[in-house]
Amino acid sequence: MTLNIIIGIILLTASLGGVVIFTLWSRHIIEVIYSASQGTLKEIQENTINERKS
Amino acid sequence: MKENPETDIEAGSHRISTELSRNLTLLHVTMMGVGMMIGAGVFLGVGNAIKVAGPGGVILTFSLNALIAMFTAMSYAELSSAIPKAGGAYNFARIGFGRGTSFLAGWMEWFASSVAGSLYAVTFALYFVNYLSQLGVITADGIQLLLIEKTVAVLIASLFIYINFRGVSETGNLGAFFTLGQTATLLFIAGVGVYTVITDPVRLENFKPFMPNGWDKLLITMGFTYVAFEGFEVIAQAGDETIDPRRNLPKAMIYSIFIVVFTYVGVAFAAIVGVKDVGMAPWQWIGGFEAKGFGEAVSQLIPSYGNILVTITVIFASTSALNATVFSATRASYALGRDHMLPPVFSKLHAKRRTPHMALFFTGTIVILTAAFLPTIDVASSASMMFLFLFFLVNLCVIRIRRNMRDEMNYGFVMPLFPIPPLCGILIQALLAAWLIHMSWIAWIVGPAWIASGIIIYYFYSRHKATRTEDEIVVLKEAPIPEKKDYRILMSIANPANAVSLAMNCYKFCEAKKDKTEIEVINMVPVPPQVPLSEASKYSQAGEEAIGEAMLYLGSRGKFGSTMRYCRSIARGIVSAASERQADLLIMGWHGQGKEGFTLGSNVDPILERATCDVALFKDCNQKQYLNILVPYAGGPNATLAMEVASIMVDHNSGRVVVFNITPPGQPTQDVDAFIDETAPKINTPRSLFEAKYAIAHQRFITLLEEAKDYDLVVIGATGESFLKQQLRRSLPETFALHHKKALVMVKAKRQIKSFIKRWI
Repeated sequence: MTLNIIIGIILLTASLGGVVIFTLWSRHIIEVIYSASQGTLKEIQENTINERKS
Repeated sequence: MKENPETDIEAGSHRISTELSRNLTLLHVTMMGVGMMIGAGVFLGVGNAIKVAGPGGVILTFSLNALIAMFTAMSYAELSSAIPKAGGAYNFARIGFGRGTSFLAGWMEWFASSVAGSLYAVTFALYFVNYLSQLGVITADGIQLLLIEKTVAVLIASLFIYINFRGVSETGNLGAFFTLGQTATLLFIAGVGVYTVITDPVRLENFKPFMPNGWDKLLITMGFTYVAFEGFEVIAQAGDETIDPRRNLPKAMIYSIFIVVFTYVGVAFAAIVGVKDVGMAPWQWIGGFEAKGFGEAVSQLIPSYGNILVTITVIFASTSALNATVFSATRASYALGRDHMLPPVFSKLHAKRRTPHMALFFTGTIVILTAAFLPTIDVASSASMMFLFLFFLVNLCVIRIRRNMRDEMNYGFVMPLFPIPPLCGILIQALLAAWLIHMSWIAWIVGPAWIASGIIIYYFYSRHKATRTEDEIVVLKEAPIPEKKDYRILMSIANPANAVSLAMNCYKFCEAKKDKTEIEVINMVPVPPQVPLSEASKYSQAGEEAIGEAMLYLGSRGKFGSTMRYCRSIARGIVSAASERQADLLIMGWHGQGKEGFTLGSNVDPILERATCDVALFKDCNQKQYLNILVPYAGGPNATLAMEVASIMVDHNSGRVVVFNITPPGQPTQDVDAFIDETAPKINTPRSLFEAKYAIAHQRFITLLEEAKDYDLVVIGATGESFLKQQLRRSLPETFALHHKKALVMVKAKRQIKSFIKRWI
């Protein structure tokens, strides 16, 4: 296996993995905001900070 | 871009608001985005990308582009969740940057969609004519074949321009059904590719050499195929018709990227492993067919029916995408005409069909000319470049809107890791656009020339004609001071009851600064979002009275200007006025009470944070002169301004200003005397007016509150901490201001923003 193929597989995995992670993460955020009936950025940020603290 | 569907109908004395019914589900809008993306990019892109970047390059092209597109998808998702109405980038730019930039967004969107439409027409023609050639119906080759392809492209484009003229458009269900069919077919091809490799692993050798032309070619193919990820705009356009848009629009954008990336990577993989025994390296064989390479490869993969499968898929994919882009491009130019940014001819509706036939005519002209005269590579590159510029702008909008309007927006989604995704999107999209010159120098002439012509049209036509929008701050009545003197004070008044006391304090600054000073009184009239700005005058009475009261006091003492503006947000209106008027000092009243979720108030907090000038908030300052003034000092950035304000408010004959420092036990004491010695000459005030006072105490807040009881007025500098930090731990000055029951002035000195980019953002 050449170096190019190894780099290619790493890039492919990273980019597809990135897409999957961002999709799941975004979906989680949308659902959290929706279920908590939040809206303003301040409410969302405060909630995120509280979540991290707890 | 669709015209705003919300309209008001006069019915007698009643105003009835109408809007489109919401009937598009998450599946509908996701499939709309997927359909636009699959329209052509993958069919044209695979062959051309393999030719330039090789077999590994084409797989990486789609996967890396998907990650970059995900950054922009998150920007679109955040903005669409906060502004869920038709308009897309045009709306975002209007709210984020104002009329000029939104014109440019609409102008680019018009061209990008038109050229994308040409690309779909060309794709249809290439695959349709190729299929007829294989059946033996067409026997021409060379220039004759090219002419036939171009003729078919023009004919199919003309057909869909006519369909748009007739006002026919596919319904949500039918569109979703077709897109599901296309996606399923492509995933089937990908599945056959995987199955082929499992049964015949030697096919993986087709990936060697992995990157035959070098890694730099990857940037070229990424830029060239970026048009295959341009479906967010059409999802954003559906904001008015989507059920639960704050939740479904962002989801649809993210999901559409997720679906297409695996489809693209899968079919590109299948195309590469599908080729066998062709007498040369498979990637060279596929690349030799250029735009038709994908179809030829699938014919090898599935010899019995691969060709007809691809042709049918291309016909459905390209025609539905062509229909949608012609519609979208027409609405973009129609909206520019409707808002008087382009001549009124663009907003004319056909008497019988009720369609914007002139906007459609101009759009159709671009689609047909581009399809007829530009080579396929240049059409795809031009479309990609324009979408790269458009997405670049949307990424800027998300940063700016978060920064300037975060308290006004009701978000359904906020992107993770902000601002890294939009910044990455901006940088990489700029790089890809620049690198496209290696693929098509024509695109690098056509794209910037279109943008330059847009800028010229805006400066010489649109900015003089454009109508105001609901989100702009509009001047109601204005009597401004004609030219700026050395020191300009902007006095914001809202309540007639305290207008005189505020004017009195303001005049003290004029006296202190002598004849170099001028005052401009401003009143912001907040209009609720549900009320059209055309009816805002109903809300202006209190402001007129407040200005009248201030005039009674200031009118006899010299010249001053006054302005009334109506706006959606008072804070944004005042910050904008201070910046526009180049004010040196903003004076405003404060009722002294906080608000749930804010430190000092929903208007005061953003003003203190964002004002580009010095700010002084006055609470209960009704006396003409003050004898005892306390200035708490902790070495912060606002201490000098606090001393200057105190020196202006104090009675210079018998008054005194005490600069007070509290140090916790065991910590080094700050040298207040040295600070006074240094500051007094700077503010042209005698040193004798100031006294230093020190205290050592554990509880600084209680000590300060007790000390302040003995003074007529406290002048205190606001905290230098950010808004978010204040939410977590309220700082001493703000806590003191909320608890101190007597007269108080809170000041904040302006902060210089040296970076041009930061100022613009």
